[in-house]
Amino acid sequence: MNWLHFLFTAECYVMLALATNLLAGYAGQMSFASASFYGIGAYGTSLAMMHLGLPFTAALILAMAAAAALSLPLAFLATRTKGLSYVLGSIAFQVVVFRVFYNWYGLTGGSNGLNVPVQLSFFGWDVDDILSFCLLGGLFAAAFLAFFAWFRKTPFARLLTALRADELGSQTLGKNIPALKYSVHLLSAALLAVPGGFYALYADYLSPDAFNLDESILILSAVLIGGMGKGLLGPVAGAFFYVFLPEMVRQLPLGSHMQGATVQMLIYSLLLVLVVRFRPNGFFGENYSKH
Amino acid sequence: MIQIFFNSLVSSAVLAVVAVGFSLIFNVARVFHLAHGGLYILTVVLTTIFIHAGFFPVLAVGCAVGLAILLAIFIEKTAYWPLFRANARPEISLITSLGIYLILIHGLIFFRGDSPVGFDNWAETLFFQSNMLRMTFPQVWQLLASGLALTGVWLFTKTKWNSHFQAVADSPEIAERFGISVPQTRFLAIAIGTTLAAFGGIIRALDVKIEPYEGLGITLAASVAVMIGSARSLQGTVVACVVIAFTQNVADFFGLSAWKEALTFGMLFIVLLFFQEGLFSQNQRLDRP
Repeated sequence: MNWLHFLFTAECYVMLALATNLLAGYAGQMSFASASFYGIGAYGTSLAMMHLGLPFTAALILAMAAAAALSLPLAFLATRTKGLSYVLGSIAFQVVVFRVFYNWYGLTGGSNGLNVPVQLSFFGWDVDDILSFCLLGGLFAAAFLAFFAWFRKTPFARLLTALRADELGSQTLGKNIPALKYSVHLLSAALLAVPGGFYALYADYLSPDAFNLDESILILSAVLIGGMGKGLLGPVAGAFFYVFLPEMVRQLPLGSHMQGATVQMLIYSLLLVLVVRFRPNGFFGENYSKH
Repeated sequence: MIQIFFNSLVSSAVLAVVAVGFSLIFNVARVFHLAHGGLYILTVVLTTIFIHAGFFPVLAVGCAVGLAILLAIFIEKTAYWPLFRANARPEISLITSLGIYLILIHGLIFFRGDSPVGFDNWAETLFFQSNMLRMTFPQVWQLLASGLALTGVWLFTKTKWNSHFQAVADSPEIAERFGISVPQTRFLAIAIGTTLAAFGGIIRALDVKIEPYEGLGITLAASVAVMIGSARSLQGTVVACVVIAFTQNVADFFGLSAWKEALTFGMLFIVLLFFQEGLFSQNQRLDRP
């Protein structure tokens, strides 16, 4: 097992899970579009570095801004619908964005993917081997954790949980619900773009298949299994579980690679059904559902 | 143009059968039943297994559909019903259904691999050909069988069971007080919906081989049709299926095949933004204008 690769992937998924939890866990907006913003971060950072010659930090900020801007239609949908309609709208949004990645050959390389022949340099530190990527990824994952440890105590976080618990009640108390929904969508999309930027430069090559609906489903499932809400442990545990499961399955005596992947998905989906049925708040989540 | 229209009619017919089944379960059981696509694929696989085992085709179809219904009822009993009783949010049921769909599909792939499944000896047998139109036997069968299935559903809407469906869809609590058994009504809706999904899978497999992963795609397309056409309107769902199929075939004609999925889901996004009740919603309540 390549532990450094495992660690870097886990760091990226910790960031993805925390950013997804912001929308689903805090605000109760169950979105299946996480992978689209992750992809916008990946493609945005790579293209800004390759075509505009920007340094990594500037390119990442630009990609975060692009992801935030592109989350506006989804935020607009959240102000007009809720529940199942919003979930379905987020699936539609994810599919459309994936199709743009997959078909826009001039910009993203389409289904052929995109080579990313650029070097990551972070304030003069050349990040060119896997250990450096792990260190920088760890730094950012720790920054995410620190941010959310602070964020969950802010009045804004309390407003978001109020929105999740009772939207009508919050509105009656004079809270500006549309502004709240716009803010949380913008913030979550911008944060989801960050691991995308790292992933692009680490992998040196972007395939649109890394940002499809299945990826969104897996990210949200990781958060659900770990546990949603204001706690940090749930999303982090879910992310580690998501990354660690393939390694565990690899140890099983299975015939082929395809069988390994299938068993991995079987365990994952079985756990998802059992967790939702018997532990609706996930393993480490706060009381979330209406049970 | 005539060919595009005919192709659209064929693909919309199959989609309509699956979508009407989905809509029935969505309305009555209040579950966004993504596992519908898993049962759609499973029935085709079971039918081919029974045919290879030497069953007469009609018996093979009957056994496969029967097993799919039993499995759907098991899913209802063990997964959906407890969530319904616990008053879980609809998103939670959706995620459960997604998990069940993944178990079904990956279970199938584990046992038989991910090769496409279908009935070989039917493909491309010509029924009619002219300068403007080409029809194959499987296409004609698909049209006839879908028409028959949809007529069956339409006739069902004239029975007292349909009013039970509407009552449970409107308010399970009030329906129960009027003596309607909510669990039985849900079972019936799920059984009929699953029969339609299974039937849709089999008639689709007469024409083309189906990939195991297609299940989610067809269910999402069906859900798009239900949302665009309005969940409570059978006619709306069927019309939306025709619109979706026509858009996709026109996209094919203009060389935009790669964008047809984006077009379909783009349409859904716009409908959800501006017409939350769908384009063909009907007023169900006499006390509201």
